[in-house]
Amino acid sequence: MNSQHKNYDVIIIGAGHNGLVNACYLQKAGLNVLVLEKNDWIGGAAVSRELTPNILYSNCSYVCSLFRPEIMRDLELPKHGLQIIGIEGGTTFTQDGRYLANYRNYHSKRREMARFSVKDSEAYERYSRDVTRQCRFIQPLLMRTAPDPASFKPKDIGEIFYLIKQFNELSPDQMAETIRFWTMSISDYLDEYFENDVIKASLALSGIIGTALGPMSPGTAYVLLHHYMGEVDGSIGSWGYARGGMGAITQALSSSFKSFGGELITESEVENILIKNNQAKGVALKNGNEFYSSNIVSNADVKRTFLKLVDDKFLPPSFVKKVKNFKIRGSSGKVNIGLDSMPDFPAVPKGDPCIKGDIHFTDSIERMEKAYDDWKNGTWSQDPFLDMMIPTATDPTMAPPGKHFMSCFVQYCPPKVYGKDWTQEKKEAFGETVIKQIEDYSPGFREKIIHMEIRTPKELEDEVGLTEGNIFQGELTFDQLLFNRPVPGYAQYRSPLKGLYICGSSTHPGGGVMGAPGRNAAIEILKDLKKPTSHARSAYEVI
Amino acid sequence: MKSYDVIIIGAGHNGMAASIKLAKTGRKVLILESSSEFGGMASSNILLNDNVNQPLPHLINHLCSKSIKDLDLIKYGLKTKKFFIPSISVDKNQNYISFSGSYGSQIDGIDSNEKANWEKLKKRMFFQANLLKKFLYKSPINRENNSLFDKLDFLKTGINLRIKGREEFQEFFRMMLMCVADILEEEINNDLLRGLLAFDATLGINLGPRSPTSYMGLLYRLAGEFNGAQGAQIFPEGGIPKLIETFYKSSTSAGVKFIFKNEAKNLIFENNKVTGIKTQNGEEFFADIVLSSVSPIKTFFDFIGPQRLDTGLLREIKSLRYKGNVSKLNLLLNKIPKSSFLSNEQLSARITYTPSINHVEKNFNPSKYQQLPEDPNFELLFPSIIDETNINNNGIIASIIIQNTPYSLKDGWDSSKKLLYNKIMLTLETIFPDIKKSVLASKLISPLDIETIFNVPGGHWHHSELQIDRMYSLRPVFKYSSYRTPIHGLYICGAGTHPGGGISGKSGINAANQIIKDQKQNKH
Repeated sequence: MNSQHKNYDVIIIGAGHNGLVNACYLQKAGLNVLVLEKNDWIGGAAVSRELTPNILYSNCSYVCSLFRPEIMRDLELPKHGLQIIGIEGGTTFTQDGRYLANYRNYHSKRREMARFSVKDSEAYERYSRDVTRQCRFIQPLLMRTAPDPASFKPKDIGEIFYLIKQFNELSPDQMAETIRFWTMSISDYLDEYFENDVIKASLALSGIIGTALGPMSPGTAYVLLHHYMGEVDGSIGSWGYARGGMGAITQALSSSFKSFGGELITESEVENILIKNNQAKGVALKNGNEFYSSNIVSNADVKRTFLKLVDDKFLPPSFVKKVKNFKIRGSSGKVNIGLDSMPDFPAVPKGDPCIKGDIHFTDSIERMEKAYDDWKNGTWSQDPFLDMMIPTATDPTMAPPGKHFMSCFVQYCPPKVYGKDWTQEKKEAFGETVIKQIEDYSPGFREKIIHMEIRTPKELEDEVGLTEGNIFQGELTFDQLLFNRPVPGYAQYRSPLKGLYICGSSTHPGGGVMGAPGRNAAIEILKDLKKPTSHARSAYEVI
Repeated sequence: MKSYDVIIIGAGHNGMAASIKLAKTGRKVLILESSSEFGGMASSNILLNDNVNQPLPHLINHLCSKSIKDLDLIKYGLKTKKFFIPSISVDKNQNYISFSGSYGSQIDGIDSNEKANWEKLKKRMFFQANLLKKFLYKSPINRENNSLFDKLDFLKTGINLRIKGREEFQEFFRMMLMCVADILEEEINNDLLRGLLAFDATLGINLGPRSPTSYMGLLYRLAGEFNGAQGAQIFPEGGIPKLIETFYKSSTSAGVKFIFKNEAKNLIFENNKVTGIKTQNGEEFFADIVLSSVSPIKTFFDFIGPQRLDTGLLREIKSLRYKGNVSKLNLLLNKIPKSSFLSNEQLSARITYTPSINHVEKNFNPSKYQQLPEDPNFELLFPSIIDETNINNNGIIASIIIQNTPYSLKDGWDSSKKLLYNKIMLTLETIFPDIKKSVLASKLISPLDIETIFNVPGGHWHHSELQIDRMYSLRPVFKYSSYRTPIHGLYICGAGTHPGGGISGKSGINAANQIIKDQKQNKH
């Protein structure tokens, strides 16, 4: 056995974006940090990979908006090469050959809606105002550790009073609206504003991306918020591409980390976390190496961390049961495509910027919900819901001129098909369903494909390590949010074992390339180690 | 000029409950009813044939001892003898579990391990239901009623919850908004038991067991009580018609005047204040207070009228989800049916066809697209087998409540009724092989029929959807959750207000209390 005797202050398992954010803050505070990554590349699910010569693939996450601007500034990410480009628009194609474009410009957007329903275009004003109000209510909570309501510590009581104060600042009517918003389905919520199916479908999609719920399931209105509360350069709700693909974010983070003096080792998969006397001692790698530190931070999801990396016998049985009951449900797949040339969409006028954004073919909530029913039955849908992007139409650095990379996020896709493992045959059939749907709206699409990568939840689990391939490291339902995330009593990034922390999206405030869990965890760790936290600025006041 | 202190629209049980409360304070009360029967949705005007009728509801679990006392129901003939109705959850392969006492205090058909699991879960659910019970029957706290004294209830509940220990406290906040399926799958393994609970949690609302917040439906049921028996399914002696009759008797004895077959058409206003009612046949009745026990949709649209509502409120009322999804099938059989696996004693139970969570969920799916379920889930009761006083000479009644049968069907109800009937019969035959031959008469009542027969838009048994976003002070809408309306002198009760449907009388009692309180303070 090959033991490394160099002692680290903190070892972080996994170089995903949250692991790296966490590492940066800790290293910047003067700690000696080591990051271990199992793959030969870093970034977890925020990567740009050259899967076919000269074309970079954002083959997991594909857009950026949630990433907290406070973190970008704290860690000087623009200096390390990170640049976010706003998305121009988006479009939803209808089955009868029309399209509904979605532009960044508010007035253009409403004019587009008016083509489908004048009433809805007017309702949009109310809708965007109401949703923005909900965003403003929730945004400051993202960068704070959730209080433990069962605790009597002054810190927790203070934090609960802060939450109550926030809530009390709303008018009674707004309070009622907020409670309703948090418990409604996105379908019911939109029904209160809009009448047109296409408009409703184009707005509903943010309520289901990444979750194992349908648009008619209560709670999806909150998920919508989770996708809306992001911002690009202070413009709340807009989305952007990271120049150079999503890997640019993690590359900038790792460059920032190294500039503070941190150490990162790839191709070192952790086999288990070493525990002695209820205290983390270090990690043992698959390749036999061991690294020692009394502070271990896991970027892996809560199930992987406590059911695989830590031996059961070190943990209280009630905690293990809670972790086992944590809901991580793989519900989405991805098809990444390299293209010979830009695909045609005859329904849209040539040169319209709306196809530079997210493209959808699901024109009614009913079709989305039916796709969800298929998933509940245990299979992928024959009429899937696609969230499709061609980042290379905006970003020239990812592919040679004329060539394109297209990312198709597919919902819903189960981790197992009718309870059985995925096979090559099923995988191809799944990919074929997606290609067929695109081809219905873009004739000749198939001939343009030069390379294609099909990712089911299984691949996501095997490669990135996300249990069941859930992109949020755990469902975003009420029972798993705030002080309940990941499990009640352990929502403050700590675990029952001393010195063992978690910092992935399984923790508050949850998934998306946001960085907030990593940052919040770093602050808790620094507090435990009695180190200064002044280099982590608090959340911006919402304007 | 016919003048009263209060006119109540609708002689449903809530209208009658309110009338008793109001008449007992010396007010002169009139109830206007459009049909010829009292009892509203629980009335007996669904005839199976010339002599036999069976109302929509067949069990109660929300009539608390305080209401019984408040309304003097015992004095007017309510028997407190309780028939705890056991539940038997069956599948098509003659497997079953039986679930008896006060919501599963005894349970047969599962092994001891599973029994222990169930006991643990039941204990926790009842603890949580008890905490919420405090809020179930009181008027909600809202913009108008939010004194410190009212708020104390929240504090007390919080303390009661916390002293129970850390674990229960955390579980309460975790479970409250979960889907019932996840909770059941975490704790118990038996499919029939899970199926039964999933069915009970979602019956009457547009949710499936896998929809988040569906657990609240189960708590709503468990928080209910009949004269002290918590969470139990109760068959009142003499059946629902006898129970409703006690409301009527108590009401008339208190001096309330009933006028039947006289439908309220519109309100008479004076300076945004209600002064009376004009009926369909042109009669006019005057009162300072009008209390509408009909659905909020009808009250706000037909009685108040859009021109008197501000835009925001109008929009909110329009967006109320009021389409029901429960149908009723009443059968008249020529003899007690013989089951291939249930004993004759077991026929006095509530028999549910709820094989598993997935089965219930799969049946919920088509209802989202206005289609009928493949293999509907239902509960079946033989009222005349349970209670001997209920026997008639014409035959045995089978009362069946069918879940997930939406108000609007893509194929229309006319052609679908036969289909639905056949589906139910197919399942019934697996339990009672010769039941088909013994059917003398049958009547299937769809939500659409409920709308026409009982004048309830959408035919929803809660008048409007009872989900978290429309519960407590959000019911029917936040602004008017104190049983008031934007019109001075016009109040609402009925299932569309807190606490919702089921025979509880609470909406009526709470509304009456609000009226008395307001008049005392000379407000509204």
